[in-house]
Amino acid sequence: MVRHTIRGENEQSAHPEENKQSQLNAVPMMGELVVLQEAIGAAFVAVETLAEGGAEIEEAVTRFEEMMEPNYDTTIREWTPGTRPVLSPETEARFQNALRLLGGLGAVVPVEREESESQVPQDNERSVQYHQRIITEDIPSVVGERYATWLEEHPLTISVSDSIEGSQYGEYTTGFNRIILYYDESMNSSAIHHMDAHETFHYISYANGGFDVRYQTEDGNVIHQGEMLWSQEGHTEYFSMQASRNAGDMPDTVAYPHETRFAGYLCHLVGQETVLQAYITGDFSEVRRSVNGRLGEGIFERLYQSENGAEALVALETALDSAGIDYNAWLREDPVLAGTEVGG
Amino acid sequence: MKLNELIKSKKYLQTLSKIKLWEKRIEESDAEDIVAIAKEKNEFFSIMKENDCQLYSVFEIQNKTLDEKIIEMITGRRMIFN
Repeated sequence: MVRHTIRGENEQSAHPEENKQSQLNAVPMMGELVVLQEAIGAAFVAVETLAEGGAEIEEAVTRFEEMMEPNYDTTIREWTPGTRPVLSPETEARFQNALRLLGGLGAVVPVEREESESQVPQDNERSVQYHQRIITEDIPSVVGERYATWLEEHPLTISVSDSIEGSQYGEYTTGFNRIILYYDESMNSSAIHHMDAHETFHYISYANGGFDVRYQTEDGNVIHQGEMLWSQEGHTEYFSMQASRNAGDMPDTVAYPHETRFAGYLCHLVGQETVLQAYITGDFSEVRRSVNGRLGEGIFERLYQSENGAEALVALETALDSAGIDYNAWLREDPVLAGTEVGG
Repeated sequence: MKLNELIKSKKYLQTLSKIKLWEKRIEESDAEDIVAIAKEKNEFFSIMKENDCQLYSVFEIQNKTLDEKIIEMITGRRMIFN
C-alpha cells in the first residue's frame, strides 16, 4: 500500500536516519484533502468560465466530479480563475475535446465500462480490451507483480476521443486516476496500444512519487531535483515500448528519441531493475551510486543538471566514452534503442 | 549536425534563452499575457518543426512543458500530454 504522506509535512522522528528515509519515501498523497478540493473547485470554475455556462456544462462539471478519483496530492500552484484567454487552435481543440469528454464520454476500466455517447463507440470497446491487456500482460512483463497488483487496486478511468487534427495523442492528468486517448480508425493498433501503455506508466510513476527526482548523498543529505520531465518522458517511453513489444506489439515510432536513448543507456549501465525502481518511486539514490561508481564522482549530478534530454544524452555518451564503455553494442542489441535515431 | 555540436550552436543557445524567458513570463503573467506568450511560442516552434526537425526534437519536451504550464495557469489542472 502506498503511504499517505505529504512531502515536507512528515512528523519528525527522533532518529535522523528515519527522517532521511522518511523523506525519501515521502509520496505526496491526498492527505491535504482540503487543498485538493480547492484545486478541483478552481478547475470547476475554470471549466464553467471556459465553457460560458449552460446546462450542458453543469452536466459536464458533475461528470468531471464523478470521474475524478484523486489518489494523491501533487504540488498545487495557487491559482485564481480569470477571464478566458484565446488559445492556439491546437490547444483550443484539445481543451474542447476534453470538455466534450467530461460531458459524458468515458469508459471505466478494468472494473466496468459505462454506456457512453462517444462519437467513436467502437473505439471505446476496443480501448477497454487494449487496456485490460496492458494491465494483465504488458506492464507486468516489465514491472513484475508488484505494480501490476497495485494497478489493479487503483484502477484508471480511461476515456477515448477522436484524434485531434489527425494526430494521435494521450493525456494524463496528474493527481487523478484518469487518462484520455485521442485517436481514429486509421491509426494502427500497436500505436494505440503503446500510447495507452505510455500514459499508464506515467500514472504508476506519478502516483508512487516518481515525479520528484531525489536522492540521498553519502553524508546523509536528501537532494530534491524535483520534477524533471525529460527524465520522466524518457523512462516512460523506454519502459512502455518494452512492455508493448513484450506483448507482441510493434509500435513503429519511438517518441522522444534523445530522452528514451538516455533512459535505455542508464538501464544497460546500472541495471533495469535499479532504474525502474527509481523511475517509479523517484528515489534515484541507487542509480546515482551506481552511475558515479562506474563513470566517476559527480557524473550523475552533471547529467541531472542538464537543460533537456539531448544535453543529458551527450553528457552521458561523453562519460561512457571516457570510461571505455561501448554503448554502440547496446544500440545494436536493444530493439527499443535501435529505434531512437537521433540524427546528425 | 552531430548532437554534441548542435547543443553548442548559436540557434540552440538562442532557443534555450527564449524558453527561459517564456517560462518566466508565464509564471508572472495574467490571462492576456498568456495569450500573447502562447501565440508567440506556438508560431516559433511551428516554424522550427517545419524547417529544422532535428533542433525541434531537442526542444520537443520543453515546448510541451510550456504548453502544460499554460494549461495549468488557465485551468488549475496539471496535465501531461503525450
